Amino acid sequence: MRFNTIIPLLLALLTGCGLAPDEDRHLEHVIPAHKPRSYAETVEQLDRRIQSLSDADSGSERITQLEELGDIIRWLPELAADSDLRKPHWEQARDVAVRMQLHFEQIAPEGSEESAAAYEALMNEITELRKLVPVSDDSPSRPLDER
Amino acid sequence: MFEVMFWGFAVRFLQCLVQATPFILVGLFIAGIFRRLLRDDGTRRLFGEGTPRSLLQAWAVGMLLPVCSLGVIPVIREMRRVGLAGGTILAFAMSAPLFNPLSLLYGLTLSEPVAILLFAFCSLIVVTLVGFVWDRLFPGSGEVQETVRPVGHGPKRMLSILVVAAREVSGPSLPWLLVGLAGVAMLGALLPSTALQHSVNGDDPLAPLTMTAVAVPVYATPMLAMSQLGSMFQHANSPGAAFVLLALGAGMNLGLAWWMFRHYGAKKALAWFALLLLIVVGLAYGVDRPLFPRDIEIADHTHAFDVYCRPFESASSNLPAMAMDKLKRDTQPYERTAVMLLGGLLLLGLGLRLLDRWLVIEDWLERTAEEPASTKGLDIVIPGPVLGGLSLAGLIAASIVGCYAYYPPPEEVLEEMSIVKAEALGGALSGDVTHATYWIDAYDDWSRKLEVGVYLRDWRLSDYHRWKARLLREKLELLQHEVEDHDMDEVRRLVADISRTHQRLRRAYLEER
Repeated sequence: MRFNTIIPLLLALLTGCGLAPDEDRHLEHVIPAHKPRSYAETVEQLDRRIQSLSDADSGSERITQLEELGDIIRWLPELAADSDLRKPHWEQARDVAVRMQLHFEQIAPEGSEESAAAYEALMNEITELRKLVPVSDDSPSRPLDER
Repeated sequence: MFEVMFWGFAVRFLQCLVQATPFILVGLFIAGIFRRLLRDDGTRRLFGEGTPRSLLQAWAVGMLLPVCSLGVIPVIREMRRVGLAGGTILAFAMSAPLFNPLSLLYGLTLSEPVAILLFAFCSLIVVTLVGFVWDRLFPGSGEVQETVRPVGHGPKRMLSILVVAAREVSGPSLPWLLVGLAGVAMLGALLPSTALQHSVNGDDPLAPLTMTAVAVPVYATPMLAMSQLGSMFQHANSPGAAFVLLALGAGMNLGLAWWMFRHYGAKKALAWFALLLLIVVGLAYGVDRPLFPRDIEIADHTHAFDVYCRPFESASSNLPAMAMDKLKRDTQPYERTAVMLLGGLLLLGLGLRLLDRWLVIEDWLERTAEEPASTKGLDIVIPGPVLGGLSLAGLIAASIVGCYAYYPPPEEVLEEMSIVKAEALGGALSGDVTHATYWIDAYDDWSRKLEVGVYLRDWRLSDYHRWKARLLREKLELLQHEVEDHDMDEVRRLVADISRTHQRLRRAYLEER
C-alpha cells in the first residue's frame, strides 16, 4: 500500500508542478520560412543562394545565409520525395544531395580558395538537379509539354 | 471535475484491459504449459537454474515469448512456485514484455533500427545487472513453494492446462492484474489531457526523469510501446525518455511492482526497485545524446502519451455515452474475441471454485492415468517436456506467422488506406474533430503497417519508400492540428496536399518496389 502513495507523490513532484492546465496549449510544427515549397523552387533557391553567397562578404548575414543553405541541402531528399519524381530520379537527387553536403562542408565562413572550388562544384550539382525539374510535377494543372 | 476523473479512470482501465487481454491469455496458457507439461524440472532447466547462464537464458526466453507486463504475472508466479531464483524471475519479468517478434519487426522498420537494437542490448544489461546484483544481495530467494502431482497423458493433460489458466485468472493472478490496470487508469484520472505533450522534448534534460515518474504506473503493450518509440523518434523527442518508456512503461506496471513487495518483502523489493531505477536512468542518460536524431525537425510536443492522460477535457452530461463510444471505436475485432475468451476462462475458474465444495478437479486430473494397452505405430505417448517445448516453440512460430497477418501485403493495406483516407479527410473537411482525429490516427497506423508489411516481404525498405510514408504522416499530423484549431482554409489546402501525397505513396508501393 505504501507504494500506492509513493507513485502519486513522485508524479506530483516531477510532473505535477509543470502540469499543463486543462486548456490546450497551441501545438505547432514550425516550418522555417526558408523551406521551399516544391522541388522546382528548391532548385531555384539553391541556385540563387549559392550565387549570392559566393559574391557576399563575410559577416553575420553571411553566416545566416550559410546556415539556411545547409538546411536546404539537408531537406533536398525530403523535398524531392514530396514531388512526382520517380524512384530512379529521386535516388539521383538524393545522391546529388549527399555530394552537395560534402561540397558545402568545404565552404569556409570567411571565404577562401577552397570555398571558391566548393561553390563551383555546388553549381555543377545544381545543373544535375535542374534536369529533374521537368519530371518533378505531373499534376493535371501543369501543361502536358512541361510534365 | 470528479466526473471527468471517474470516466477517465474507467475508460483507461477498460482500454488497457482490452489491449492486454490477448497477452494475458497467452501468459495464462504459458503458466499452464510450465506447470503441466514442462513441470518443475523442465521449467527450471528452461531457465538454466543454478547455472551461470540463467539470467541470459531468462532474458532470451523472455524476448521470444509474446506476453506483456500483465501477461507475465501468471508466468512469474509459476516460476516462483518451482523455486527459480528471484534474479532469474525478474530478468524474465522485465524482458518478456519489451519485445516479441511482432513488435521487434515494427520497431526495426519504423524507429531507428540502431536505436531498437541498442535498446534491446541495454535491456539485456538492465536485467542481467539487476538480477546479478539482487541475487548476490539476497541469496537463497529460490525456494520451491508448492509441488504438484503429474497428470496422465491424453485429454486430461490438455484439460489440466485449461484448468491452470482458469484457476489463475479467477484467483491468484487476478489482484495483481487489477492493480496493474488500476495504475495506468489512475494516470488517466489524474493527468490533464495535455499534461505529457511537452514533457519529453529532445532539448529537455529532465525528460528521462519525467518519463521515469510516469512510466512506472504506465502499462503499455509491446506494440504500443514500439509505436510510441516510433512517434518519439519522428518528433525528435528525448531518446533517453524513449528507453525509459520501453524499460519501465512496457517492462513493468504497478501490479508487478506490488507482487514484488508482497512476495519478497519491502526490503528486497525496494532494493530491486532502486537498482532498476539507477541502471535504467543511467543508461537513459547514456543513450540520450548519441541517439538523438539529427535529420529531423524538432517538434515541441508529442501525442504519443496522450493515451495515458484524461481522455476527456471537460465535464459534459454526455460523458458516459462518449466513454462507450470511445471504447467501441478503439476495440479491434480480435480484441473482442480475446475478451470473450478471457471472460469464459474467468467464468470457468469461478465455476471450478464452486465445484471445489464437492470435487476438486485437480484430484481427478492427477489420479494416475492408466497406461494405454499398446503403443503401436504412431500411437505413442509424447513426454510432457517434449510437448511443452513444442507448445512454446509453436507459440513463437505462431507469433512469427501472425506478423504476416498483422502486416498484410501492400495491395491490401492500400485498399484499407483508401477507405480510411476518405473518412479522415471527410471528417477534417466537415470540421468534426472527434471523427477526424480517430480516422487520422487509423490512417497513420495503416501507413506504418504498410512499411512493415513491405519490409517483412522484401526484407528491405528503400529510403524512397520510407520518405513517402513519413511525408504522409507528417502532413496528417499538421492536418490534425489545423482541424483542432478550426482553420478551414488550411484544412482544405492540407486535404488536397494529402490526397496528392497518398497518390504518390500508392504509386511508389505498388509500382516502384
